[in-house]
Amino acid sequence: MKLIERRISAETLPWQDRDVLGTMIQVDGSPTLGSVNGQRVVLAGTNNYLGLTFHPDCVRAAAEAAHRYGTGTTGSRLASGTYPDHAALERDLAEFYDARSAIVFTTGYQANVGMISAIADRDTVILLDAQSHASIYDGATLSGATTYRFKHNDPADLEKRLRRLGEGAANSLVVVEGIYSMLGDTAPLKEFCEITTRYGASMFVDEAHSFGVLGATGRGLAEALGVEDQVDVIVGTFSKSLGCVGGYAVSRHHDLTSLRGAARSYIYSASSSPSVMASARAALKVIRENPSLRQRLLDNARVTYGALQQLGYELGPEVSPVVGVHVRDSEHALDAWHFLLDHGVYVNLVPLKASPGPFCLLRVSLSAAHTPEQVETIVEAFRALKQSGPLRG
Amino acid sequence: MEKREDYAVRLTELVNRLAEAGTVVDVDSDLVDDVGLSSIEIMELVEQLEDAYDISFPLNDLAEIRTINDMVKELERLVANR
Repeated sequence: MKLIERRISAETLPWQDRDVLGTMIQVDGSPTLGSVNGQRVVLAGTNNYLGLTFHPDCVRAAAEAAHRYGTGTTGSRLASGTYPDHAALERDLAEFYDARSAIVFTTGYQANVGMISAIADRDTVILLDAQSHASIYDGATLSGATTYRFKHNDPADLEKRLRRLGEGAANSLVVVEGIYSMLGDTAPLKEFCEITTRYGASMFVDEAHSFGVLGATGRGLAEALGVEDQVDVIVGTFSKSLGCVGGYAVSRHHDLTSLRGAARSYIYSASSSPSVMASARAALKVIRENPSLRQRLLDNARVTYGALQQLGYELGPEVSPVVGVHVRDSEHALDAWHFLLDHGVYVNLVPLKASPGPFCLLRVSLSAAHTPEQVETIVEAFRALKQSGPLRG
Repeated sequence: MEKREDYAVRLTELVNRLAEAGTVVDVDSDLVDDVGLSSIEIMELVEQLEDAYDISFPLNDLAEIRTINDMVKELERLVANR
């Protein structure tokens, strides 16, 4: 048997025989409504936190850019792939974050992989939170750095590991996230920053799920907790609050320019299409001018989290736009997921393999664009699920 | 300082606690294929060792550890470099 045949027969997707993970969502003119398998549903699993995918300013900017600059750049940023909107978006982000510099990547995954592997190398150490996103683990692997994971959201465990490094602690990069994507919990960033500062380590925060969501102006958890001055690099994504696709890195303290040449995912990927850059710029402007979007999102999160908690579901530890509902095993999770679809609600089905604990998840993500009626539909579907019998929920 | 044999005894005990009843565990047992530990259980095991010996296991080396014996060698190396 050839290698590829052995691999194909050895690997299986979760629920591969049930045709679940390839589920096609038909979106039709709305950030919160669509169809799945012909069933009309409220979309509550898209991480479209501010609902900007159909904002008229963003759609118009994307269309105009496509007409003017074409559908793609066909080149890397270091070759022919830097168009006016790439540079302009970097200036916008630097200004938004009051940062010295910003770098835009084609995806959020590439931003983490590129930046981590550009900063760390085999002579350095990376300490990452155990529940970090795969892009953080992959960046650490690519860097060749000696990598340790510390217990999730546990400052004491981080400190213990920095202490064990002795003088090497000053040569280390600590990586955490603003909001964790599976359970919606936030990092105790103030404590982490105090520890990393004391040990002279560098602090790297992935604000993928907190950008546009937390902080007085939407810059994320570091802004919300008043520790931006203690963070060396912030990375984020455009594929959630900005409603398109792409990633970025910013730094208040450091000029990141030279790292462009060290980030392989930056050098060896085609740059984002001009329409994506234009819509990201428009979305960032919308965020800056509409702080009420964040309030609406957090109100929807509060209502949903409170209602599901009252129904007796086991949830993540805090109110968040990501509400992770625990389900004890794969069969029940799949059953519950279908039940919710039948009751007009699409959420993410998270297999055991991707879950942070020994359970599956039904991951609900709220949006500022969810109407009170849509939030009610979500809650009612979970109520019906709970009432449908002990095997579910 | 503990000897390699001491590490092996201690580690075998810890693995036995995680293994299903009736599973035969020895130093050459493959932690996944023979003992049936999940990745979460292996990380629990690693954390217990880290706390017990005040060391940190690099993720880079964990992928190479398949048996109790492999883990004993890594443990010995990390304790020696502490």
